Amino acid sequence: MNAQFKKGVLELCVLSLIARRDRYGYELVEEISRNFEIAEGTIYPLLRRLTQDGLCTAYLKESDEGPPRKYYRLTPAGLEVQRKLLAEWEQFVRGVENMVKEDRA
Amino acid sequence: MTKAQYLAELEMRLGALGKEEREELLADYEAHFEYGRAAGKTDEEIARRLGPPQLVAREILYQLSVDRARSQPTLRRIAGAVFAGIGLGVIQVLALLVPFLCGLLVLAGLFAASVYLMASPVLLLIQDGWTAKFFRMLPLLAGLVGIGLILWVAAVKGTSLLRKWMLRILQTNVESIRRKLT
Repeated sequence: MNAQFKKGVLELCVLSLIARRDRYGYELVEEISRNFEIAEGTIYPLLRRLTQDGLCTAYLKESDEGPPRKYYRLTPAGLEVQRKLLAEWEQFVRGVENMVKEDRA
Repeated sequence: MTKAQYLAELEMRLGALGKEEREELLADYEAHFEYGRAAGKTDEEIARRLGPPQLVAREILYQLSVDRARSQPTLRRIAGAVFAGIGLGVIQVLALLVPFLCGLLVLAGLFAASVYLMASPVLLLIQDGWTAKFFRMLPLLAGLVGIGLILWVAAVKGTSLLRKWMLRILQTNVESIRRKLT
């Protein structure tokens, strides 16, 4: 997969994951890494940018094991962006499917 | 690579960041190591999956240069992002420079013509002195000064237009850098 493309999709994935429930950094990284082959270290700068852009907020929560966890919560603006990206993604997938299927037929 | 080595390498490469920002990010990576250890992973494995600290640092620094230009588009910051963009091949240097230089030339011409026209009575005086001819030519001279004033106003207006236009082109490019980098 093209690196540039993967980055755009990555943003959609992160926003979608925290849209379902608040998650902390390590949890997000694990979840994404399970599905994609990615340099995990590049997810933290993305989380920082999303926070700075006001698409999510971060808060600390104590944990029984290890250091406090930094949780990320989606904001209304983040939800809006997530919907927009999802719509773009679905349109893209439909486009690809059209071509691939016609090719087969 | 151990946790300490990884964090030290990352910290060294993030010198351009503010202290607070750097510490915040390093805390993220430190916590990442801690959670990985708690999950039974070795430092070696955690570091390998994070990716080389050089790569991670580059990602963070690109992000930073674009963020700075976006939040406060001062000329210096725009220039920083533009050069980062040129380095990445995002910005077409000629597409930016050619209209800018042409605009500057036209404006310089306008200003020069305007100054010349407005100064024409004085120039004539210097050339011929107080002669009857000078008084005969007064209406013409007044006309020339008037045209000079109009050109001046046009040149001032043009300058502000050119500046706005250049800012917009840069803005578009900064946006495209952002998209390219994130």
